[in-house]
Amino acid sequence: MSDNVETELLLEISDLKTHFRTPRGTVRAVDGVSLSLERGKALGIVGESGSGKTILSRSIMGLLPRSGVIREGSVKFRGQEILGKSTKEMQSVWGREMAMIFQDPMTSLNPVMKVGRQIAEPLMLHLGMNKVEARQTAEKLLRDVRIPEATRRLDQYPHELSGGMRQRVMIAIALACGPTLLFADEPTTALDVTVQAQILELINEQRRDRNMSLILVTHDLGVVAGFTDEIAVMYGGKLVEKAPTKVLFERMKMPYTEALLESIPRLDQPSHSRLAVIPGRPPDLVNPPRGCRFAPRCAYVRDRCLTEEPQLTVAESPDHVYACHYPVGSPEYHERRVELSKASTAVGGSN
Amino acid sequence: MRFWLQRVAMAVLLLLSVSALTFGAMNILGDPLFNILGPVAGDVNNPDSVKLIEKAKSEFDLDEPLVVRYGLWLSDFVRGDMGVQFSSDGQPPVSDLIKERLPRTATLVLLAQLMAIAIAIPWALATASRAGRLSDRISTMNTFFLVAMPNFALAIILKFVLSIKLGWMPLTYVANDPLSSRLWQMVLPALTIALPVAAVFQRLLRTDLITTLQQDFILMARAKGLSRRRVLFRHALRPSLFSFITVVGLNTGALIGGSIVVETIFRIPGIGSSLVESVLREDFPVVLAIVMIVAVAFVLINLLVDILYSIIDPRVRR
Amino acid sequence: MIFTVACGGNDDGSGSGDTETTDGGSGNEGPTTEAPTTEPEGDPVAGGTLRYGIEADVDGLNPTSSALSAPGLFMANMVFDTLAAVDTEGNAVPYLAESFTPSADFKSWTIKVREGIKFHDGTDLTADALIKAFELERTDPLVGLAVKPYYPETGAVERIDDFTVKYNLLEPNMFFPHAITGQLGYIPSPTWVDAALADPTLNQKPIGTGPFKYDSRSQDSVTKFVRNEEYWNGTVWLDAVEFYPVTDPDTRVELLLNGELEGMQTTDPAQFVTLREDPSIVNTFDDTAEESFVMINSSKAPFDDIRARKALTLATPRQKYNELFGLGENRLADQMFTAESPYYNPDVKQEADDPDAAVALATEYCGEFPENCTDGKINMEFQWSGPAVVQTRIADLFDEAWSVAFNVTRQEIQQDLHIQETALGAYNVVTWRQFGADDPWADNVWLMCRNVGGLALNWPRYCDEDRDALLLQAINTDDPAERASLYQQVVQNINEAYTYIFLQHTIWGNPMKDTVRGVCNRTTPEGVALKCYSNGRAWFNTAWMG
Ligand SMILES: Nc1ncnc2c1ncn2[C@@H]1O[C@H](COP(=O)(O)OP(=O)(O)OP(=O)(O)O)[C@@H](O)[C@H]1O
Ligand SMILES: [Mg+2]
Repeated sequence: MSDNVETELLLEISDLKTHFRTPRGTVRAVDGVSLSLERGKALGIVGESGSGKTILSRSIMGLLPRSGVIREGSVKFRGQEILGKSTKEMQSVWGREMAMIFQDPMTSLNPVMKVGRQIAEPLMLHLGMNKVEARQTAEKLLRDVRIPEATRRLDQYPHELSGGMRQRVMIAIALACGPTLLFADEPTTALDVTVQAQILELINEQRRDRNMSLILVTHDLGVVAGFTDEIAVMYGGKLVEKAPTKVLFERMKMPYTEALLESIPRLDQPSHSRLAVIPGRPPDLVNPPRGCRFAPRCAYVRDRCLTEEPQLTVAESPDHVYACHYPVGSPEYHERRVELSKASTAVGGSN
Repeated sequence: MRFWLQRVAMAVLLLLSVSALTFGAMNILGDPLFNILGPVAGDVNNPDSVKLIEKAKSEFDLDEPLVVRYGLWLSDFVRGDMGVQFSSDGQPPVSDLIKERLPRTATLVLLAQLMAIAIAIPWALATASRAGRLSDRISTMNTFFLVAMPNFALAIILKFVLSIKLGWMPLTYVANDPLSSRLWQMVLPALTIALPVAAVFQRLLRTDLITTLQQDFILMARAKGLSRRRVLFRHALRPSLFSFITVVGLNTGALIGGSIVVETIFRIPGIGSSLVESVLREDFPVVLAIVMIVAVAFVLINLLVDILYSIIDPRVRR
Repeated sequence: MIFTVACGGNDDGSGSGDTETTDGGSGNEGPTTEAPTTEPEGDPVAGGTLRYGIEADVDGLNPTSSALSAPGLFMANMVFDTLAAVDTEGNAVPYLAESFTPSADFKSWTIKVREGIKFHDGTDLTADALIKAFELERTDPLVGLAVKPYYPETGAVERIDDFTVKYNLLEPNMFFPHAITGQLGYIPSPTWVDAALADPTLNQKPIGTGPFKYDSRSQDSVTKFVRNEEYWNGTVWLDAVEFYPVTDPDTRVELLLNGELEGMQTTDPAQFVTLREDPSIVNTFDDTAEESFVMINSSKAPFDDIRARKALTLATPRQKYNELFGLGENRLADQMFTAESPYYNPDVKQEADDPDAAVALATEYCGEFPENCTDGKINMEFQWSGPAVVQTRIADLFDEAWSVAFNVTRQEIQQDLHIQETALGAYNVVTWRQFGADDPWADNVWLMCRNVGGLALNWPRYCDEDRDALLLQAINTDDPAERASLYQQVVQNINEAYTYIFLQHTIWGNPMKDTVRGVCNRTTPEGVALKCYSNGRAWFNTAWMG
């Protein structure tokens, strides 16, 4: 990956904030996230439900509701600021430069439009193809995403396809105009476990073939492990840890990341079920906790965590950052860990 | 296929019961002989009148039992013979009367329906995409105003403003003007019927559109980079048309009802005004013919609605 | 030989009406023209289409088979000529006829028509046309009602020669020519009436000798007549006349004010008020014709008893009715004549507005016929033609006032049916409008015993031999003073029978745009000026647009 000499910085986000005005108050769904992504690289965004992964990716893309949204910070795409751009201006970026694969293939395809037309639509719009060309290209795309009998499928409606097949169609649509940045928001959660791996493999393969950048959103660390160069961990609208995939798995700093890892769903379990769920509830994004947002649920919490918000700190390797006062491996961490294992044996002994 | 056979059977059954009920009710409530001959029917001591009475009885099979008369009427009707009017000379035959008047009402109702749809769809699209904003709220007030306003009041207002004050539209319909002027004369009456109906259609479609616009595939369409207009027309509209089309179909009855008032106000000699007249005059053959035409139209339109369902949503296809 | 002169002389001043003089300058009597016509009129110019709004459409335009109402007679005036016409003095003068000659006993009249007149279908007007029209009218179940009672079963008409017909009557009648100034005087083409018998759709396409020819007709929308280039009596100026039935009176006024019509007919006083505000409208009014009244069926309980009729009369809110529905425009009617008429009886006043007396009579009646009463009030049914807002309001007013002495059952029915039920005597009480023929003789049909029957025109079904005697005497004298006295006695006789409760003199208005000129220039070929408005209709023989 790093042997690519000419690395091009594709995306650069700094202090991105997306807040929603609601009757209950301002929801700080994304609260000051900074990130960057090089061309051809894959970034995984992980975090438990409600941590702001979807909103972060949509904020980058600019796909947000038209009213009641406050956006701050900066999103530079290919060196150009795109945060303040109007919907009209973004329309030439959407589908053409950035594309998105949605979570639920059952509801994300238009039920009353033939598959072929749904694929052809961006081709005709962005690439100026005529109907015949667009249809031919759509058929080729369907083959690319390994849908059998591609010609026949063009004239079918989404309800005539299986879930995995539909997700392949979504991928075909996203890939249609050869975007440079692909968002995949939990592309497999709605699918059968058996097809999950195939879909991810397909996305990864296409990414490599087309030299695309990928932002893969998931709450499942296990998923991102094999497919990303880098992982960003989100909690309560904030980026709490970021590192190259290998580094993260070897030397994760955040107790939250660790907890996420422990809750990786097993392939033989129904999706969304976890071995160990992190106890407690995600933070209230209207009135977030004062110190570390994870502190109320953290097994390693100390007084300082409750009052002082930890800033992003660089770890041993410079491309690894985290926001924790007492990271994994620190003396305080070990101390607490011993106490915890004692407690658990005590409980276990009583059985 | 079986589904459609069932539908057709249902429709036939419906038409038969409507005709039987109408036929029965009218013969029980009124005295056909009196309605045919007028005062002569009661003039039983005058041999000349008696001759007329006998003639009418045999011509209209009045001495036959009701069921037989219904059968006779039905067999004539399905062969396109709607009988003769109850009047001194029975002229023109009902079929001719209908032939002359139905095109006017049909044009009026069709024009009104098209206008209502043509107004409602863009209106709903415009308000749904701006739901909750000021323009949407003003539009909501307008719809309530239009729906609450009786047809005749709206007719008078439109006539006053568009015909009398501005002079843009003709005041009345003239049956022997050239076709183009007659169509032009139909515009204002059709608009009168269409506006309140459009308001109802718009409310309904707007609600469904708002629901549709929250669907994932709409976000997906936006993410493709489609323009807002294209997202609305190509992606949001069609899946939102279900209840809209149902109501458009069901509402045809209301349109025909509206046409009765409007035909009178704008002097359009259509079947609406004929219906009123013939009901008051108890001219059964005319009433029956019109009731049946309306019923057939209703059945056909709702059959059409069923076909449209499957065109709009492939998931309903059988 | 020519009776016109004698008749005109004898009948001096006996015309109906004799109302206010006109300021229109055309010298016609009866109608009142409110706005002065823009005199001088200048020379007539050819061209133009006159569009006229009428109250309602008619079922057919065949005078031998359709009982023609005011709108029907108006349209018929375009296509047909009458044998006689009413002149500005109210006399019947020859029109299509060249002369009328009575027998010495006035029981037969010989009518000679002018030679060389052609129907619109090219056939000639001959004696046969008159005979055909007469026979068809007499045998028609409805039209015949006004004909049969006055002629013998056989030999009523005799063909004298190609252009002469003799009419034989049951009784002497000096005023027979008045009978042929209206529907019975129209002469349609015999070829056409024969064809119409076989194909009734032809009833919509009349063929006569009149100033205009039938062109086209869309029922309930428009009927168009075009100029008869070969008209036998002078030049016809207008290219065409179109009649638009507009049932809603407000719409009719709207169309007139907006220039979509050149003229209209109305009896609605509210509209006279509106129309007066537009200076370009010339309003012609005439209230010498019909009277509106409440009519009581004397052949059916409870009104076969004069006390019940009298009670209803006394309970009627006549003053209030006039205030509410006359709007100060209509005159209260006491009888079938207006005060200007020589036949007017100044001593006869219409009783009404005395509820206490009504209650007393009702109580007396109920004491005797408890089966026709409930709770001491007489049971009755009030029928009117609707739906029409005004009619419903009138019913409300009467209902309320009558309820002091009556239990009123209200029945609103459609006009045709209303007329039919009334004709059959299947009613108690109705509101009605009639009388006001150009000569009172023609009103005999409503009043005589012979017109009481299964189906006949004496709607109240009231028979009084004394009244018949007076009426027959009146058609047998040409002494104006004697006639006046006889009709004054008839008026009193009617008043005492309590079968009509007179309300108002109906005003017939013919408002027209001031661009319509020359309506009243109509004359006979001999130059006798003719009456130009009558009962809401007019003639457009000489009208032009300028
Ligand atoms: N339109 C909105 N208005 C208000 N709050 C919103 C809106 N959209 C999202 N949020 C809130 O923002 C927070 C982040 O939501 P987001 O969908 O990004 O979570 P996520 O990490 O994608 O979760 P999941 O794994 O369940 O998809 C949530 O608490 C959500 O309730
Ligand atoms: Mg999400």
